[in-house]
Amino acid sequence: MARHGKRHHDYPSLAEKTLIIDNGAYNIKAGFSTENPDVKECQLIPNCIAKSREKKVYVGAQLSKCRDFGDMVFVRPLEKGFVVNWPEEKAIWESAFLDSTAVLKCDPHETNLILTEAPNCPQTLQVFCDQMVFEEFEFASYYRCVGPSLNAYNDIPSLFGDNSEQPPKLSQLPAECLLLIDSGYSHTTVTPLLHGRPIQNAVRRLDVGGKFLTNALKETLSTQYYNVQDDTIPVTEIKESACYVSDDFKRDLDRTWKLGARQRREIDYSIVIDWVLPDYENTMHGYSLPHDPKLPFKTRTLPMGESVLPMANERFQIPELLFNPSDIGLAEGGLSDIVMQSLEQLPKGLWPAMLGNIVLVGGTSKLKGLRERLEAEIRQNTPSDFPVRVALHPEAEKATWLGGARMANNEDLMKRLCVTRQEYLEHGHTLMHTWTNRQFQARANAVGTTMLEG
Amino acid sequence: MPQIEELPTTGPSAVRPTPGWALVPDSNYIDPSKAPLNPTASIRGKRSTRFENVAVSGDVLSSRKEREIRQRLEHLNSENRYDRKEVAIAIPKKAGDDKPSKKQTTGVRKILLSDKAFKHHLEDEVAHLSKQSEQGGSSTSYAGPQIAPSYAIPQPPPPKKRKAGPVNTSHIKSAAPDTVPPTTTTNAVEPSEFDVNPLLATSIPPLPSQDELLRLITAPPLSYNAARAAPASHYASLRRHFCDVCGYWGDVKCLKCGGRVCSLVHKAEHDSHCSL
Repeated sequence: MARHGKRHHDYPSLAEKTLIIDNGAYNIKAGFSTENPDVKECQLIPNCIAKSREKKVYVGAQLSKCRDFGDMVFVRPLEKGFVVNWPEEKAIWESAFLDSTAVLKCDPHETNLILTEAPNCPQTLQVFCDQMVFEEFEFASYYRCVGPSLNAYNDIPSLFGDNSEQPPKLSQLPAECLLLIDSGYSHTTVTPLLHGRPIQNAVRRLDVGGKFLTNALKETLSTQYYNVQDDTIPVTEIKESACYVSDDFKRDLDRTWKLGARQRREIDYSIVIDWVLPDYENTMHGYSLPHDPKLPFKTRTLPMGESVLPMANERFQIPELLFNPSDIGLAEGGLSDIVMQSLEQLPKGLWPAMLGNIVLVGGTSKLKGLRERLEAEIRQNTPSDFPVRVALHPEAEKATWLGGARMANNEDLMKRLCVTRQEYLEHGHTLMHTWTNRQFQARANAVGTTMLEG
Repeated sequence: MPQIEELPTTGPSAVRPTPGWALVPDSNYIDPSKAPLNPTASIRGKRSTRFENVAVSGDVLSSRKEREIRQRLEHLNSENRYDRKEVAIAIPKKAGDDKPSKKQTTGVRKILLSDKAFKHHLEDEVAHLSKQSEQGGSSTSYAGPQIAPSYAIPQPPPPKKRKAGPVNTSHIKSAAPDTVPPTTTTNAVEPSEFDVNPLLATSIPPLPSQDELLRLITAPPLSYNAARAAPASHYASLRRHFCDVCGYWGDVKCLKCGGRVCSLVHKAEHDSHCSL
């Protein structure tokens, strides 16, 4: 028992450097912690291995050298937000962190690692991950946590314009109450956070994310115009720049309807745009032009030979799937429904604090109009006694990474949470290799308890 | 009663056996994303005529339509148009990587050789959980599929437009947690002159006790399936239909294939290549 007591006070010393990896299914967000963490230090590394039509293979960050994204085939190590294919992930991590030319080159033996995972990860995959980190990469110490929870270490008050003159000090972190919505590539999750700890019973997931929307857009464009099924990157570009969440779906749909049964209607051309696809000879990226109604509506080409897609109701019908997944037959509630489903798992006393601190992060949350629509829908669903505030993190994609980088500055906290390689070699194999996983939970619970009490 | 069904062995939806060893789930769990969209559709067999079904819900999906939707959802969740196996990009060897790599542990080798997809891991998890619930024991590290009791009284759907009325908006603002952390000690709201009026008084529920909060943050995670969003309560009435041709409201239904179109003009276009 004496030894047990001692262990709680003499925390092992950690390495100087800390690498934070927010391991997203689309992009890895990674960088080292610094005294004043800034998103500029965060690198975006595509988490994929891609093959171009010239059969050239690109691993991770090498994709930025690619000049032709047409007909590209991708293999991603993550499925549904979890690392499933370790051979590919190993190759990508090695090229990003171990290669002599890598921007983020480090010696794992002298580096701490903070790694994120999506909520509700099956335990086998967590065990796989821990084994890979310690046995293959051999990091000095390591903390694995649910990605959304790191956001509690961000400067939340400034997102809502509260007492902006003094950002919270390290000791004031993590934020006490936060309802975090992470809309990523594979899915959208709602995670209520109390003192930086997720309230696990109230975590909810909607299986609509960036990939789903891109595929839906591909499908629509392919049936209405011409086949873009193999053009993932150009279609993603269209989604990111031309699509938006409508604040009044019915009105916008009516405004873009052309054919009445008896008469042709005049449509509202302010919604319609012409999207010019890149040809990968002269142009690398697509761009939009105001719609020219004189030209025929179907597929056309510009004088230079570029292909043009007119986009009307597709612009808001695709993002609408986030709010009404039933439109496509998916039997899950929309974004505002899952917020309510999550809240219903919480005591009513926490509702005001949660509803007043809703933060959106993740690449898909950058869709235009999404924040406003979500705020309006939640407002309609909740008692008017409670104020509702929804904020979009200005660096939505890198927000989780930034939170992790800020957490890494709290040395005391890190010492209490991280499992060192030494400890792993001693105990890691016990309990069917689940020892590390149990330690992460137990330590985080202990930290949460002290935060709640103190 | 064992369920016997024919599984496709070719084509993209073919079931691949789990590589290696796996627990076979024997649960009644129904994946909500794959469950029939209309609950009445599952009892089709018991009802003899089509018309009875129509009378029940007015919009029963045929099993063919269900299958179509399922395939479509699978397609929307896929990475490329092809199966992962067919893509098979060989991981390029780095130049100067000829030196013997360090010895891998058995665990790492097993992980790297594991050919399981997420689907297989999920099946394992479901099987593991059903085994656990059979034994009645609950391990602390693994969350059972049980859902915590719902605290909130279900809110009746709010009226279409909440009348702002005489409620002082500045008062609502003051209720906003203007200091962060917002729930420091109480949910106290500045007293307002309207609080004496029972219709206008704000009711802020008391904060839960320390023990309750502790229980909330130390609960083990839910399983992957338990965290999935449930359909909205008014799901059936929400189902909207869109024109297959232009994406406008699909008010006209094709009698042959069940596809939707917006107008007679697009009905003609649909009929020209109707699949049935």
